[in-house]
Amino acid sequence: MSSRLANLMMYVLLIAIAAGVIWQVHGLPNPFGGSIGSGGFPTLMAIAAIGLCTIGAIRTALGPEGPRIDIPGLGKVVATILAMVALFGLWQLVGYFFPLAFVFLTGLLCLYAADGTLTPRLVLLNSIGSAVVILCIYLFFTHVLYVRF
Amino acid sequence: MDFLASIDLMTWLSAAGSIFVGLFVGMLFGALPGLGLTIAITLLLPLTYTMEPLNAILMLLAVYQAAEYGGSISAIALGIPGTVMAAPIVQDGRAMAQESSPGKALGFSLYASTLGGLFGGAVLILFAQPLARFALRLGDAEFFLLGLMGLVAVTAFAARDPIKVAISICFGMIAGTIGLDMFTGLPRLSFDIPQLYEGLNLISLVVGLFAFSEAFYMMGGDMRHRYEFDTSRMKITLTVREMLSGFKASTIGAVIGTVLGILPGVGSTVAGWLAYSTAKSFSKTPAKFGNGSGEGIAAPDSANNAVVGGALLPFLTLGIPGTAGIAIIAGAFIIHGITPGPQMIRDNPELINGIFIGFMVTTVGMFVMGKLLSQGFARALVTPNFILVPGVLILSIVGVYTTRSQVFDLWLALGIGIAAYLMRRLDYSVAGFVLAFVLSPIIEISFRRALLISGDDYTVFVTRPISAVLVAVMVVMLGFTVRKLLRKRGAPAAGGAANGT
Amino acid sequence: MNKFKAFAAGLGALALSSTAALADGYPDHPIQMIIPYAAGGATDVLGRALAQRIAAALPNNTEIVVINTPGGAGTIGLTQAANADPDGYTIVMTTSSPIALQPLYGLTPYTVDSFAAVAKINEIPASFNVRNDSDMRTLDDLVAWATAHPGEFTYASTGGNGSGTHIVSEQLAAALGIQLRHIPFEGTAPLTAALMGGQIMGTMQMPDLHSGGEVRPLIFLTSMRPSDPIYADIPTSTELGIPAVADFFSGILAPAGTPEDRVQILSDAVATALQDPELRALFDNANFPISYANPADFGAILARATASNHDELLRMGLISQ
Repeated sequence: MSSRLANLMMYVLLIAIAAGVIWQVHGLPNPFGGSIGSGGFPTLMAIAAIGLCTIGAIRTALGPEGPRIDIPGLGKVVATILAMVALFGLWQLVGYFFPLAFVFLTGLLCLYAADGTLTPRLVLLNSIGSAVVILCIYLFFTHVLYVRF
Repeated sequence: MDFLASIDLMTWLSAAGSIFVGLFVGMLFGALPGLGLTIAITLLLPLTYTMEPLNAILMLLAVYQAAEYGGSISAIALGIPGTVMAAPIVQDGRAMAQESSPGKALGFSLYASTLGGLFGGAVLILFAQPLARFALRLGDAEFFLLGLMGLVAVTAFAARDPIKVAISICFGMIAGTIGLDMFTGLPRLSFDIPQLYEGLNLISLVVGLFAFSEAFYMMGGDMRHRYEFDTSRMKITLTVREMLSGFKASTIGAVIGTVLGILPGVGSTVAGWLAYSTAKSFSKTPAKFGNGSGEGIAAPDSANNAVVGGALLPFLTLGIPGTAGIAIIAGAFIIHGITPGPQMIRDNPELINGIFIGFMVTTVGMFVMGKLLSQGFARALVTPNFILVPGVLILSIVGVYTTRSQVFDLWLALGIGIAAYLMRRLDYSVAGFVLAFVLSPIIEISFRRALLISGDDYTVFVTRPISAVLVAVMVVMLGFTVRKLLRKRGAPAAGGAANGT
Repeated sequence: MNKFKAFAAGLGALALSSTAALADGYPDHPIQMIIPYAAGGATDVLGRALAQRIAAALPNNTEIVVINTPGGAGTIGLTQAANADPDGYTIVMTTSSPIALQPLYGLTPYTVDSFAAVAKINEIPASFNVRNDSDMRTLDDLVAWATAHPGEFTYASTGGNGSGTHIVSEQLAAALGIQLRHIPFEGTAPLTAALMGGQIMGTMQMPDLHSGGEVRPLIFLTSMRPSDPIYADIPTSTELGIPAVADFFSGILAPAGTPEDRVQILSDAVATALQDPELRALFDNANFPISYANPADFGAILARATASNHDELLRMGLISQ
């Protein structure tokens, strides 16, 4: 993707978000006097954002194609985000944070270490390391700070 | 001060012990992303019930002071501010730590924090009464103008495309309005999600914007790469010359931090930003700002710690806690049946003197503790990323959850993290977004309230004497900025070197 | 919301049937007490001190673990408590607003019916104040001034619009037949500063003359006044027969469906704990008069406060039903 296209897409997205903001707050009643209601300030900012995005978009559209935008390590970024989604989702739906966190941590350590070579020994080391970290977190947070995970 | 004679060794030792514990916990929790002052206090508060009143208060003050500094340790070592106050330090701290010397970056931070802390303390001790009175004369009209001035600070943060910076500010402002509108009691932009009624959780925001997006960034590089520094560069120390080079910036930060700390409700979060931009415009080498300038580290760090002394001032003299941090520390007073205010000063002079002396000791103790603990954190820089990234992620996740036990806050942080990552890739300004976010409530609320009080009379912003002065200052500031821009156009190669004030 | 209620009710029934067998040993493991405010605040430190004494007064000296769940003006903590198992091992310490006021706006997933009242702990007195050097010495002075300058008297309450202190101030104005102008503030600190700095003329909050401050009460709008003798001469609206009486209190709740015998055990422990002289001194110093109420009475207080808030919100047009 060229940086011009990426920027244009982002401008469109931002304009859409700003428009959504205006739509969300436009109907808010204003029961307590004051010339500016709940929606006044967000609306003002959203209008400014739309104006600025439009200017930016026009400038970008008229400008050069720009260098290719690529996301280095895209695979790892996406895998990490998916792992986080899985962790939060399972935790919310099923519970058992600590076993989940152990799998999450070991998995990430192995994923990132796989840049080099992932030997069975390394996997074992990673799981031991994660187990120790998670155990420390468990001991400290549940028994000293009384957080219920 | 004849009470000095009457205090015996044990009293001193137990006070020193309390301060030590407070410093250690505060600094550690401040440095860990997600954890912070509130969690540290949760941990230590049960201890304070059985302690002497003075020791309890000093311990919590030490936590506050050390957490402010702790936030900048991780900002420098990891590029992830432990607290939102440390956000202005990230750019220069990270640059200096990676490119030349982590020890020096942490050194600038520590020396400046100590200077800021001492300055705030000195102002507290010497001018408490008159300053607290003066601060009361500032009202919403002035707070609004201060907020606007804070916004101008963003021009100091280097960014390539001014339009994108402006867009970042707009969205930061909008994000700052999420939640119940105090004026109408109505929820705005919160989509019926109760967790959003109080606005975006600040911890989720910091962790998402900085910790998560930074982790995603690290994945783009070589995960096995480790920085190597010889031991002399890891040492947290500064030469006399370096100390002097940061002195002006630290002093600017200390003054700004103390003043903003005194103003009740304006929020310590703004102090660091204002200090950064002011130090830049007074600097002989403004071009270095953003690329590892010692002054760029020193000014906000000094301001953050000066806020503590400043915020204590209206609290001890009038009973009004100036910042959220002080409101938390107020618990130690309640536990021991002490009500802060004019009466306490009359009835309990030993306690006040003890707090004053203890506060200075705390600041010096922070310096020593900082030297010890920062060393360990500096090591994070030489840890390869494939270990660092999972570590940062799991600690951030636990930290965000700990603040109020809501998985929602984690989803929020993840969403913000992904958005921030994309925006950073496209050169939007994270600094502008955060600054606008923290200023948004100040600007909006004080503007609307000033009008409400004056009965929709817009002249209120210029007719009050102090607000008139502020308007004049703003006009001058804008003038300077415009002049600088014009000059830059004229001689782009000269950089900012010609800018003297 | 209905789904949630059905779920909660089902859960309650389930818990009732399963716990009946082991009710005897209650409590046999630590009880969690949620405090819906940040650590270090007034409610938190008093709550923690109280928790220690409750634990000592419980059968088996069962430990009480305090959990802070700040956010949403207390509603996040109450939501968690409402969703907890009603087995007597989760309780929540709350002030009046999150239970008797917030649910009326329909923004919380719980209502007052999602909880079983355990015990009322204390009253939170609040008064309508002016700055100490003001010419207004009595309520009559205020009425006289406000009648001469309708709508010009600016005052602030400790919450924004629609907060408990705002509501009762408007009740006062209505009862006195005067017009006041409400200016919303975020919390006690900025509004005290605004009063002392002369930005506003009055406040509705806890006065601070007892600590040498400058917030002087004209009338208490709660049935009790702070214990400090400096306030002995200030009238309360109850004494004057003015229909503007707020019920601000702290109390302990359990999720609805908690077995009654367990609620009673807890409530008795609170009553015993509140006899502790050290604890009484702590509440006294904070100027929160202790006022215990048993489950039945506290339930009635909750119902009354909710009904009164509901009527006033309707009258002010803040809610439509």
